[in-house]
Parts: sequence; C-alpha cells; structure tokens
Amino acid sequence: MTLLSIFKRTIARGCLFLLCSSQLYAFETTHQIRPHSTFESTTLANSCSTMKENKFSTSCNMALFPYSDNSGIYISTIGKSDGDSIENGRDLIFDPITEDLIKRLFQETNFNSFTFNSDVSLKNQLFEISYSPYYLLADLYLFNPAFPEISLNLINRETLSLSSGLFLLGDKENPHDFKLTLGSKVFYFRQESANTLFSLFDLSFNQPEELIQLKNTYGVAADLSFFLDIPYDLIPNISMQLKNIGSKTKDEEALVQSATRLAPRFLFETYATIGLGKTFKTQYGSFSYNIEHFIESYFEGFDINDTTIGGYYSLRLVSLFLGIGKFYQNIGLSFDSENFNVGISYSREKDIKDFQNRFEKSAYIGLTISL
Amino acid sequence: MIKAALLITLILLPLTGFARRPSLSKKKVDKSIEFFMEEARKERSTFYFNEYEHMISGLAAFAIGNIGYLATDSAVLKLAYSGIQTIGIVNLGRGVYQRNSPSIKNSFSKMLTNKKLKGYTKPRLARELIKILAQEERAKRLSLFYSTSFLTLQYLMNATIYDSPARVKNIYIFLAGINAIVAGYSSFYKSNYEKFYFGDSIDLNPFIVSLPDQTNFGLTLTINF
Repeated sequence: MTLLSIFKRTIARGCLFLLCSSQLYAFETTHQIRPHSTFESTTLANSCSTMKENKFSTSCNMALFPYSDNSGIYISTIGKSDGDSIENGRDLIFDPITEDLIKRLFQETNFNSFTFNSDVSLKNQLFEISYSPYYLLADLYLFNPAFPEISLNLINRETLSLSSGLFLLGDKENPHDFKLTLGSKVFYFRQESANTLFSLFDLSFNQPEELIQLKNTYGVAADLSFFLDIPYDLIPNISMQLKNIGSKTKDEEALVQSATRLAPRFLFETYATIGLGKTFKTQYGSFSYNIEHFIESYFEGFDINDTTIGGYYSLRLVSLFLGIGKFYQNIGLSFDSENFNVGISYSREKDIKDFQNRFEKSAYIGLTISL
Repeated sequence: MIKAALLITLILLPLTGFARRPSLSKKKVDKSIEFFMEEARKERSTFYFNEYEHMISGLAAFAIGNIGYLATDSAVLKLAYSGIQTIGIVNLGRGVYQRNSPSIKNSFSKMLTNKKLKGYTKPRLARELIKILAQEERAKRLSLFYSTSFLTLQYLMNATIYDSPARVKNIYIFLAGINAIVAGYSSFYKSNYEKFYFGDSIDLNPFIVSLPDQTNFGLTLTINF
C-alpha cells in the first residue's frame, strides 16, 4: 500500500464522515391526517380550534363540547384517495421492481406518504365516547439512486377515548357574556409500528413480513383544552390545547442520529397549540376563520413555519373549506344530507418540508354516516 | 266625629264612579292553547340562514358533483362525486317539500289565532283539517317525484354519457330504473286526502296549486334588506 493510496483513502473517509455528520437528525415529517382527525379538520390544515357550534368542532377542540348540540352515533373515515403517493405505492406493491420504475420514482418524488383514519363515536349532552379502530400511517423515503434504499415508517394505532367539556365562566344563553370553557379527553391506545431501512431489491426476494418487524406499544394519555369566547366581533376568540399529556413517545437515540430515518411530529408526542379565530353568522351563511400555531412539548420553542390558517363557509348543507400553511394548501367541499356527509378536498403538500423538492398533489375523501 | 265621618263618606261615594275598572281586554287563555302556541312559535323557523338554503345547497351540490365527475379520471373520486350528485338532488327534493308543506303546527296556530272567527263548527273544522293533510301529502308526493326524476336522469347520464368505469355502469342503470318506477308512481298516485281536496287531475307543478274550482299562483319573490 503506497502513501498516496493511504492518503486518498483517508481523504475519502473524511469526506464521507463530513457528509454524514452534517445531517445528524432524522427527517421530521408532518401529516394532515392526525389521530381523531375528521375530513373537516384535515382540510382546514388542523386550524379549527375556535370554530364552534359545528359538527366537527369537538374533533378540533374538546373545549367546544359545551357548544355542541348534536347527539347520536357517528361513523367517519378520512383517507388519501388520489395523488403521486397512491400511484407510487401501488406500483411498488404490485409491479415488478425495474430500473425504469426506480428512475421514475426518483425523478418524480422520493418521498411518499399514505394516511387513513376511522372513527366511531357516541355523543350525547354529557360526554363523547370514541373508538378509532385504525389510524394508519405509511411514510416511504427513497434515497441513494445508485443502490436504492427505502426508509419506511409504518404505524397502525387503535384508540379508545372518553371526552367531555363544561363552562367554567359565563352563561351560554347570553351572547354578550365572556365565556370560558374547559375540555378534556382521556384515551387508551395500542400501537403497532416499524421504523426500518432496507434495500429496494430486497422487496423482490423477500416477503414484507421478513423485512418489516412490527413493535407493539400500549399507553394512556390525555388532552386538555381551553376556549375563551369574547363577545366582540373585532376581537378574536382564543383557544389553547395541550395534546398527548403523559405520552411516553420519545425519539429513539438511533432514530435521531440517523440521517435517513423518518420521525413524525405533532402526532403522538406531547405538543401544544394556540388558536385565534372568529365565527360570523349572516343570512347568506356562516363564515369562520382561525389561525393556529403548533408548539413542541410544553410550549418549547417557536417556529413560524408551524402556523396554519383555516377558513370555513357554510350554507347549512354545503360547506367550503380552505387550509393554508407554508407546506400545505388545501381546498375542499362537503355536502350534508340528514344521515350522510361526503367531502372531497384537493391538497398541495410537503410532508418533509424543505427536504421535499416539489409539492405533492393529493385528493382526500371523507365520509360520515349519522345514525 | 260620627257626623264628620258620614259627611266624608257621602262626598267620596260619588267619586268611586270614576274609579278605573279592571281591564277586561286580557281574556283568560286556555292552558292547552297557550302551550300549543308556544311550541308553534319555537318551530316557526324551519331554516337556519334563509328559506332557500336547501334549494341553493342542493343546486350547488348537483352542479359541483357533475363538474367534478367530468373533470376527474380517478374511479374513487368519481364514486365520491356520484355521492355528492345524489345528496344535491335529495336536497332539491327537500327544498320542494319545504316550499309546498303547510307545516302542520303553524297551520293549527293560524286556525287558533284567526280573529275573524270566534269558533269552528264541525264541518268547517273538518274542511280545515282535510286542507292541511292534503297539502302535506301533496308536498311529500312532489318532493318524491322531483328527487326520483332527477336521480333517474343523473344516473342515466353517468351510465351512458359520462365516462364511467365499466363495473359501475350497470349499477347506475339499475338505480336509474328503480328511481324511474318510483317517479312514475308518485306522478300518478294521489292519496285520498289529496284527491278529495285537489281533485283527480295530474298535479306536478311545485309553484302552482290547482284546486277543482280555482287556481292560486304560489310563486313568491322576496327581497330582504
């Protein structure tokens, strides 16, 4: 071995070390469909915590429970139905892995995501019990075109929750009164998850069960919410929420140190939100707006990119939704009949933020059946 | 002393003639009537924003459902838009019902508050009740007719004109057939109350009410400021 070859090898390893160490943190991903999400909260980019007196209010903020008067049994689902992720996922699962497929996947987008949520709820004047049999999340990140590898984050969560709310201050019947409400939710969850890495060609030679080892976790957590209703049109109402209190979900050391693993935010770990918004009712319909800011842990840190704005218009049976953020832009419509509600929304999204080279265009469908 | 008291009494006695009589304008209202009027007052507003909200929402859903169905290539989205078309048409039918329904509680309320009549004879009461029930039956029949007719047309368009997946074309044709049968039945079949009050002729116009001896125009235009 010559001195020159030793020198070259040292330089190469040094460069490799620098490249890897420059990105010590996992890819942080955010998703529009979250646990307990409905079509409305998803299309509003989860910016709806001050939109009271609507059927979807309690899915955004339990402190709005005292304003709700809808009782009954509701079955709801929301999922991504169309978009690049759906097509690519279908190709990866059902088509043979060829060089053309890999080239196309890397050219279009190397991050694909699929989410789905389902809920069965029983609501009455005193409380709400909700069972979510499936919250599915599948994130897939392709990297290293020379030898394609997949970073896969797969989660299936089952949840049973009990929630309620009450007035702390003010009189519900008096529209000129300041009102403060409190809402809370306690839930038990059971989760199967896998955050793994494997080569793309392994898919052709191995069964998925051999590549993906699911880990089971169980736990109990809670949400606490407040809502201040201010009886002046020019001053917005204020909401504050603490989500997943008592959650033991932590970033694993190996996950954080990896440059290619996927770490979801604002889903299962403890986080807080602050919302400002107002609702106006006219004879031409109801108009609402809301500005929501998401904060990690117990109000730690501030990132303006975690702010979203939601707009909502309703003429009783037809509703229009707008959700805008730096990485998400949505527009959607939903239509109501007595027992049946259908919603369709179109979205431009970047789940891995600036690491994603272009916005993915997706379509979501939501369905609610009232019994 | 006694003389003074008698004198004061004699002076004050004529003045009692000018004392105000207790008001007799507030008659005692029967508790049952009072309860009924209160319940009718609560139900007076059948709409949330304005009286055309069902029709406007229904037309919007129908239009958007058709535009979306034509614009998308995804089979799943086409199915969702088909659901929206159906909801739109069902709400149009509901708008027709609201337009023609007499609202039974409000009708009885009008009967009880009619100042021109002090009481109802049995024949008059029977006529009023038949009128209310006939109008209600007619509203339901027209609502069913219009919603099923439009659904028939919509499903036939989805099956034959629009580019639908082959698997669902037969389902659309089947649904169109079912709705066509119901539309035909509701156009010809009238309940006994409807026949007695409106007559036997075919009656399908949601804006004009035809009685055997007279015709009333029911189209209204309101502008609110």
